[in-house]
Amino acid sequence: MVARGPARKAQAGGTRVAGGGDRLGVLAIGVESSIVVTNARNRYVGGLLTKGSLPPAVDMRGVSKTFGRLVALDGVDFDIACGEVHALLGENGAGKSTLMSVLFGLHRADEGSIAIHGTPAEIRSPQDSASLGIGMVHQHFRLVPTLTAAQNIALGLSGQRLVRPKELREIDDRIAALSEQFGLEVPRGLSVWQMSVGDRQRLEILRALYHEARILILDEPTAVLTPGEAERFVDQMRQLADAGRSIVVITHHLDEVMRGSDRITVLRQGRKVGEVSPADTSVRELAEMMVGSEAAGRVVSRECRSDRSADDVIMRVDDLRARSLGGAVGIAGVDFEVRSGEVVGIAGVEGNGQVELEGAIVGTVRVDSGAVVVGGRDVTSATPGTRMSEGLSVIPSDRYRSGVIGSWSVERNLALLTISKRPFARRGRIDHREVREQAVRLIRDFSVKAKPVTTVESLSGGHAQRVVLARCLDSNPRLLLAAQPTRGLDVGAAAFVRQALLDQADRGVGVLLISSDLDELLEVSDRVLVMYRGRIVGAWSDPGGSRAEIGQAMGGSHVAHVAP
Amino acid sequence: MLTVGALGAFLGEWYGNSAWVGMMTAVVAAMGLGALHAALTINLKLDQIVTGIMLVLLGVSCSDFVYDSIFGDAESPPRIDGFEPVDIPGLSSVPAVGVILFQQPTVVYVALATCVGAWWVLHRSAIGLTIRAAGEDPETVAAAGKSVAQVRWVAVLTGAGLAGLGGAVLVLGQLQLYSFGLIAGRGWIAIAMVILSRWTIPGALAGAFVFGVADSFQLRVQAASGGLDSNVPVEFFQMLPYVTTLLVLVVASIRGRRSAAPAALGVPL
Amino acid sequence: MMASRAVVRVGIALFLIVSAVVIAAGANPFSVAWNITRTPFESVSNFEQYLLALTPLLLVSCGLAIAFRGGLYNIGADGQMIAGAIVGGGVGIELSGAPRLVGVVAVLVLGAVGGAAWGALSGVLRGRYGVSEVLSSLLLIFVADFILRYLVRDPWRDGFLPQSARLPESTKLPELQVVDVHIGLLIALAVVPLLWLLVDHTPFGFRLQALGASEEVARASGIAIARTATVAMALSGACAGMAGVIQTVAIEGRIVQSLNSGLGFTAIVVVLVARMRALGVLLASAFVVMLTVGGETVQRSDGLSAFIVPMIQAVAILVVLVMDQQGRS
Repeated sequence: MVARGPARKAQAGGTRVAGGGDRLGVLAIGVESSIVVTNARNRYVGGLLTKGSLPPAVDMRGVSKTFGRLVALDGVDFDIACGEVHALLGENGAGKSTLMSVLFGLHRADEGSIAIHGTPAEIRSPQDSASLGIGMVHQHFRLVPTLTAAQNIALGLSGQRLVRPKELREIDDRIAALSEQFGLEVPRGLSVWQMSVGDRQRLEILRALYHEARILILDEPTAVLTPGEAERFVDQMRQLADAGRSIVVITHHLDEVMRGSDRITVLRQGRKVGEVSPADTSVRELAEMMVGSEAAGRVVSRECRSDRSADDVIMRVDDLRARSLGGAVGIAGVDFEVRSGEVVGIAGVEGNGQVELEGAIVGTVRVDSGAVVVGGRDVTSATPGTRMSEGLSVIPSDRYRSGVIGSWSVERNLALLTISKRPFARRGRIDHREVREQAVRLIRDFSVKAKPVTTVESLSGGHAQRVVLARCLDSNPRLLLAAQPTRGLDVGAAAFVRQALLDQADRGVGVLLISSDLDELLEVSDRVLVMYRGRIVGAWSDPGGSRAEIGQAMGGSHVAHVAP
Repeated sequence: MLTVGALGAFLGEWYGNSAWVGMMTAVVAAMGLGALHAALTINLKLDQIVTGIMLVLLGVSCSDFVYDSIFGDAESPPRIDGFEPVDIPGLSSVPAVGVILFQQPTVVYVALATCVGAWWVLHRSAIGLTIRAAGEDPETVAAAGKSVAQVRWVAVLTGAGLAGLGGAVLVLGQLQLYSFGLIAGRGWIAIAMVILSRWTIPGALAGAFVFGVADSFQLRVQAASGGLDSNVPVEFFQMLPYVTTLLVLVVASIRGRRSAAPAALGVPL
Repeated sequence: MMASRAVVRVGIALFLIVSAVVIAAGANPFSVAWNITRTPFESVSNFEQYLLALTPLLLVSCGLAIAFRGGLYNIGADGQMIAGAIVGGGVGIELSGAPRLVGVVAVLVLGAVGGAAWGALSGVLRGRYGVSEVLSSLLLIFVADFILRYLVRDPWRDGFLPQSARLPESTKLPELQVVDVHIGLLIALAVVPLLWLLVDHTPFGFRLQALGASEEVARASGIAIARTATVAMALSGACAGMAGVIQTVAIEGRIVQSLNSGLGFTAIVVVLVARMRALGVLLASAFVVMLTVGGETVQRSDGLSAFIVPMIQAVAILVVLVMDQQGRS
């Protein structure tokens, strides 16, 4: 591994970029920036270069970390060579985030050592890691929505002195310079809340670069991007690495890992289970390493879809309009129907009106005009409770905000919808035994790894989602709204949720699936509608065969198809 | 803190023989109490509401106790000169608004200047950006390598100092004496104003203005309609500022439906 | 470690400050502390006084605990007490001919209704229009206070002072047999287990807690937010209103001007220290009232200024809070 450093270093001088001949658009900028940065970098590591062996940018040895009784990391070795893109793969809870938090100084390891560019380092806080040139781009952006790009960066400046308008302009100029150097454009005049998700992400990276970060930790960077943007992002990542930055990318997306990384480390249950290069492995092998052999190959069944009787309309949405909830667009005239027994998928990049649509159907967002009809009844202005009594059940997109109460036990969360009904309430009193029995039954049926009294916040995302799912399905819905139901879940948990959706459809439930994961939609849906800027811009009744078109529509290129 | 500030101002002028000294002692005394609040809530992570209420009790009783032990024996409440209303030459003779706008005690101008200053600091300086950010998203601030605790300390101390100044305004500019219970729940009204103004300084100024206008309006109307002999009971005029505030609040809530409270207000980190 | 050392330092600092003040005022801090703890339980009459002072605080605190469990920060209990006193007391004045049972029940129920209405107003504003219940209940204290001042100054005034005529005998609360305390105490003590039953063992309590834990989840789960908030605030106000009318009928014997006593704020502290649990509310109320009643005695026995007692109380509660916080973390 150590030998790789100088080799990649040489590439950074131009070979690598010259080799990327098919990426014409990126090529021109790429050449320029590599040269500039290489010069800068020669100053930085010049002495080491001549010795012929460059120490890894990061070298973590035998890192262990426990939280209470939970072993999050168990003697993990991890290193990043200079100018490399190193992918860190693993299911949720495998320890990826913990490992990176240790590197970034958010957690301290119980055991193990860290060396940065060959020098042993004690990283106690994010300040320490920043001074060592480590920058992290979190999955949840650390940007203040009311401030502009320059103001957000000014926030990170040291010292409590006043920032004069002149200094803000200087910061702004440097952002512009960095943007150009690395091909990371952001709208500098806008406040963060007005920016797209992609812009915010680029701003996060620019901020790290502004602070002279040479080692970048990217946590699930493409999870919120369009397929096109994600592709572009992978290129940008490569470009950064070619310019001498060392990159760790935490991800679930196996395709991107294969295409964009130099090396892949796989973690499972706090241990390192493999370190491979993309050339020597396959997507299948990686998936097996991640989930372990027993869970791999679990595929959602697609049988008996043709048997579905698809006649009665269980929900209709007519020319629905609602204002935005803080994002760029609300919903601007949406029509569609869901029939019983079918899965209708709403595709689209997040922030194109899905949240507003979800809220309008659930009844938590005020609708400006149009109608929502559930089970034949106009519920446009009805409370969520009324809609539920019409047979609506919801898996909300924001699991922890509107799905479960984290500080409550599993059994209480499971009882949320049923507590006021018999047999859970008798003569105005709660029968705690019935509540417990229901919890035990649902925990068993949905394989939730928890006891009835475990608090939901201590569960992993996948098991918290099983709690939501169990509660939803146990209420015998006629219409199931599943919004981003597998977001943040690992492979096994996601498959479980998808299977549950299909089972419901087989039972005659109408399923509306709002998701930004195109693969998932194509796998499960009978019809796919694409939402873009608050409108349905296309509908496909043979989703599997229209992947490219759907992807294009998600990115805003108009190829509207009307479903038969 | 208002009370402490009021007493600080009173004592400062009493012993320092200068209204300016009074203003200084007001701010320092209130910041002392603020430091206690900061230590308890930020460092020891006590509940901010409970601590706040207890410190109200502590501040009021301390002030009353100190005043009582020094002046308790006096026959009539001692008076101080305070700030004389200053004329701003030229402007104060503008018809109608001249006297109201430009012939106020100095502390009033200091208070208004503070408003402008506070807005500038919050929006145009690094510490201001950090304070706003610490309210929105403390983790971002922590990730930016700043100490949230430190930022909050600064904010609490500044707030306390301003409250002290508020007390000083009352004593030095308006009453020119100290009395028990002189603050009469104004701190709570200030909290109401801040929520009403959606956490912005121009909004707070506007809110305070509405309350102040309603307050002085009720005094005028009361006088105009014949004081205590009027048909309309005096209490209904006195109620007016509170009812107005409540109505404004309801209207604002119906129109806004969304609070702009810093997301992490009251959440310890 | 750091934290616990800081606690010790803060504790010592607070103690030293108070001791210094007490010594400056010419008393022995240890004897003051001992006297505060001892006096309420020293004699039957002191203990009766203690129970009388406990009654309203316990009632108001229980009421606040209901609202707080629903995430409704009702800080206007003083206003609801006044509303209860106005409605209950106002009708009570007219009940001179009624049998005592009718009189007493009517006054108590109407007091609760008055407080409930005042509280429900904040609840409706919150549930329906999203108006912060902190603000509305706070502002409504002042509104209630001015209404009360008007009533006792003009229409209900009897004699020179701004207060109503004496309430008739028929509204006088019966005394308990064992100690010389009115039945208000029993009502207050009965509300404690009722609070526990309501919050932890009824579907309403469950919905209330859901609202308190997460309004978003509660709404998305089909819970009627506006109704839950209104009912909770009404119940909360009913407890305060009952406390208000009990004070009026049993302690003052007439409607007086000075009902706005800040008891509501003390109750907030009680409820938060008790972490909103029924038993905790009982214990915390008992502790706080001990400080008040003991403090009053100390004023006389140790010759302290009346203003020093609230200071000692504030510091004592802060010290308890600090210790409690450490016990938690």
